Amino acid sequence: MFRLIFKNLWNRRRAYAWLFIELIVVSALACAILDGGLISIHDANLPLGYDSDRLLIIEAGSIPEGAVTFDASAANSVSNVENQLRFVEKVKQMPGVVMVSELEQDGMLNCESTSMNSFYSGTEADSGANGILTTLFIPGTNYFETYGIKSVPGSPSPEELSARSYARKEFVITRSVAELFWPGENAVGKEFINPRDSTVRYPVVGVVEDVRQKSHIRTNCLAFTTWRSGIEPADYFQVLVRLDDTIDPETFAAAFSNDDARRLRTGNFYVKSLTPYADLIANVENSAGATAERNMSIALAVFFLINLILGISSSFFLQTRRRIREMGVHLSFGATRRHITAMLMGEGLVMAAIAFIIGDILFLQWALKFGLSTGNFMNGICNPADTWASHFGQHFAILSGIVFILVIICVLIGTWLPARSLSRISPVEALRNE
Amino acid sequence: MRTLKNLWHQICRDKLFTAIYIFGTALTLATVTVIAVMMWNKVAPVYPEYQRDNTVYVNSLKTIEKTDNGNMTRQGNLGLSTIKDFIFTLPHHDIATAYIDDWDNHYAQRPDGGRDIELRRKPADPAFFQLFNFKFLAGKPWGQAEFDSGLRVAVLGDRTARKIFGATEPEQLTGRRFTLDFVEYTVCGIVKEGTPTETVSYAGVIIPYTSLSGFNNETLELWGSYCVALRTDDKDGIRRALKEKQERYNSSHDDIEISFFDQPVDSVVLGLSGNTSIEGFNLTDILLAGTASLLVLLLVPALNLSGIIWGRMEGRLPEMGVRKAFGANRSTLLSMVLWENLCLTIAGGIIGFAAAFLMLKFGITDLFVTGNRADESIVTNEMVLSGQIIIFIFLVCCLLNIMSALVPAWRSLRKPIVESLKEN
Repeated sequence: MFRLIFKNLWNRRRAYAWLFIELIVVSALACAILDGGLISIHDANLPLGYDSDRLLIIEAGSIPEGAVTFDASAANSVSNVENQLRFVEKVKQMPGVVMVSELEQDGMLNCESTSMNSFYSGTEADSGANGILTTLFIPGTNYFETYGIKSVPGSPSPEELSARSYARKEFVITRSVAELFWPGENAVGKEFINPRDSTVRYPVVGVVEDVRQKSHIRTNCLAFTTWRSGIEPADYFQVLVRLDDTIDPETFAAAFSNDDARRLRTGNFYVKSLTPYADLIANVENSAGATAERNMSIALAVFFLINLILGISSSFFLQTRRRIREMGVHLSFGATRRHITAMLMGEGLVMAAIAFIIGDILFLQWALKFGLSTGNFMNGICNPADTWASHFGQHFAILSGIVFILVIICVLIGTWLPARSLSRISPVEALRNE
Repeated sequence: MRTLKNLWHQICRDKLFTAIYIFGTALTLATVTVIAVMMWNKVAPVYPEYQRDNTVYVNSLKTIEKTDNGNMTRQGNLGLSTIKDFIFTLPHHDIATAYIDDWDNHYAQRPDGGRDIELRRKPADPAFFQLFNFKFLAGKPWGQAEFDSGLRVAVLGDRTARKIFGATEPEQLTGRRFTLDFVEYTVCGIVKEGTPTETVSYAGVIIPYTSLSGFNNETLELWGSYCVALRTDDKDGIRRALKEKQERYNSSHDDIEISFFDQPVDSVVLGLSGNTSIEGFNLTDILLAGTASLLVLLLVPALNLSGIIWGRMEGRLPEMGVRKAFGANRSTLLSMVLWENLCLTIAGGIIGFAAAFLMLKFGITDLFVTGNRADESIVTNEMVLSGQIIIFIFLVCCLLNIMSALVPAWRSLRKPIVESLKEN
């Protein structure tokens, strides 16, 4: 069968030339286009390092001065802080709520803003400027345990890290940061150094398991720090809520009524919004353009692959007209319909495989010169999570494998119908055909 | 006429290939149309930004302060004092409006006690309504007197008004009150609401920024929350004037240096780059990249169609031989083939355009735009049925026709008459 397939392809090389060129072009283009989308999907599916499935965020706003329901007695700073604490306590008392934490402004993991600092340790492993994403939290608010962030062995527990009081510029870092600066050592008790003044030190007080600050950025390098000792007066704040395992945040949010919101009113604070964490993550990905890039990549790949199916179908339908007599001869010599179908589909598959190899080699030249997609990789940021996407060989192989499978599927779809219709012709009719 | 007759015979003879040809062309043109409309809306004059061609924008300021610990760089929106000292005093403009590009979440409380409505709020000044051509369905905009007094009056978009008040006639809404973040406002006008893709002008509610408490608080000198849009006939002149002010300020201050980047920028820069603080924007590079992307997008469909045309031309060789025998030359036959295929391409283009129109109306752009998911992208007829888009699609049809039909037609017509007539 294979000899016959190769012989048929060689005899019809002129007829299949356009299709062959198209297969090469689509293979190369599909690799280039799907690369970005594939990496985007890969990055979004990496573990976040915290359990977002049972989380939601309550945004609390403050009724402004001049509003009808403004409470002047609650406007002073002492009452403001008390009301924040009471608000948070009320949220904690809601049915289904396990744990709560008041968040620092922009201290939410997966918030829209990004903060990055350069860290130096002065050790041999420290190769220079290392940009680490930084997140702020408020001490004494159960931050780490509400998020479900775990500590590494040898580090204080999440409860201890949340409860302790912090001096300025003390850090809790992730495992990847610890490995980057002090490989093989316990980073607790180590210090970062101010590059301008080596006497100024920033202690590491805890190490937690890897956490990603944003779902669409691959790095696990994150440092937590705080500027304050506790809750301070604010016009606006967010409360992170962890629900019981049996409760779905979407259902909880949908069932949250105006009466529930009124019950949470404390002083001038009111519930502005209540959003499941998954929705927040999706919103941030959308705002950052990650969702749009992913969708565009997939849409363009689908566009090219549908065109491929059309091209293959039309070429093979054209061939069915020209090969009726040939098929009649095959049928008269005992070939079954299955043989005819397999032979024609085999021609398509062999042609696709050869064209894919050529297209893949062309794409490899492009990738070697310009590189493969690195995802939403911020300039200056260090040490993205070590997965196949960070290694050229594995990245290229997986991308090529996926595109190869897609091309083969398209070829099978495109050749099946013409092959089937050709195989159904009777030998007499086929031999009579001129 | 003869071309159409030939074409009709070809269609009747090869229904399957004609269907595949038209479907492939329609798919391509639908894709190109969706992308073209998305790009066009970023720069086109659409409601209410009909004066986009003459509008420039200043949104950002960068400062570098020299401190004991080294230079501290900051970048952000403008303070009111910066706007008054630097921007409003610029020459070469006739309208200038300051507004807050408000990305925070804001909620209107429904009078019937239902769930709060999330909406986009735009605090602005009265010139906002002069620069952007809002169509008032009822009432009128708040004016200078209300602005100076800091009165809590609001102009609502019609879709937002329906969400807050239900299905009520716009005329009945002027004078009604509602609360926005628990602050009471009075409706003074209802406008036809724009679309969230018009990022500068779009809002569900437009209020005087003086109605906000603390609107004039500037904790840091020069900084604030404000953006400015200006109407001008001399974009280069206004840019030079701002640069001169910047240089004068920097030469008179040793401890701080300010930069307005290349602002004010026009709508093309803002629409294509998404921000005003971009430097060295090169439209030629973007157009070249866009053209290259278009050619790549058309390459695979062109190869498809070439294959189909190649197959059909092989079947038409006897016909071509007869025509040559009766005196038709190669260029006549080539133009006949190209015209026939152009008719099919245009037929596919019309179907593709119609399909793209439906996809756009059903919100396909939601999959591809960047921004807040709460802002559904609304595509109006004006955006899709514009002359520029239709001309562009027609030109793409012609380009696709040439890319797909020229080579196979030329190659098959090179065969001698005798060989063509022998073909069976």
